Amino acid sequence: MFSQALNREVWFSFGQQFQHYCYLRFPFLFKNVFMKRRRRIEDLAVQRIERLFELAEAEARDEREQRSKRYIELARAIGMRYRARIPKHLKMRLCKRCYALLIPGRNARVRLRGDYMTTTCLRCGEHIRRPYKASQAPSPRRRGENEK
Amino acid sequence: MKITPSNLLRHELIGLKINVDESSNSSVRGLGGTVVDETRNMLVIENEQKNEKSIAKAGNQFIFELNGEVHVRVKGDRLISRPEDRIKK
Repeated sequence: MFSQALNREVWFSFGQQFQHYCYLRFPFLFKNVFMKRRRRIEDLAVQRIERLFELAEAEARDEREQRSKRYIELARAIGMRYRARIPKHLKMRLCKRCYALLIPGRNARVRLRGDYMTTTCLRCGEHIRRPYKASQAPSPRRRGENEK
Repeated sequence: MKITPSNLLRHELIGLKINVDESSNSSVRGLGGTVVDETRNMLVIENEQKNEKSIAKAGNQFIFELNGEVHVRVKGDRLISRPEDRIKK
């Protein structure tokens, strides 16, 4: 009787029930599993974003604006869905208004103005300013240390 | 981590070389080229003459070429979902 009742499927379902019980009773034990899964997903998302930017740049240099735009759209959608940030060096190359991929000399103008660099998107006219000098002003708290 | 057969289903399909292996539609069978765009149910393929063709994912079988060496045969039904949703599947 037992040999029939405790066949493989029954054991398997026991295992699943036990696992589910553990999950409800001791959720902290599963933290590692979730973190691992999330990290894997984020890693994949960043890889896909980088790949899409590569493709978008290639298409933009081939003068196929529509496709380039579509790839950036997809990359942004992936970033938003999985809370993966678009890497900083890529984010700097996007127009913040029309999300065009900026290629200096083609659809962007880069000028140095005092302490910051201005990138002008030639499609929509947006100026994107970025400082390129570390601020030199000593903080008032640290004044004593600086004088020494 | 590169694109491999194990993570192909979750990775980016755009830019890969593709061949339609099996299809119930005889005019689509044997088409090849690079993937140019992807929607929930379709793949847009561009061939060497720069002609675009959109092919349904459902019911077709594709062969993807990864990194110029590995060939993977994939059932199109497993690819059905929006490109940004495919990571979590």
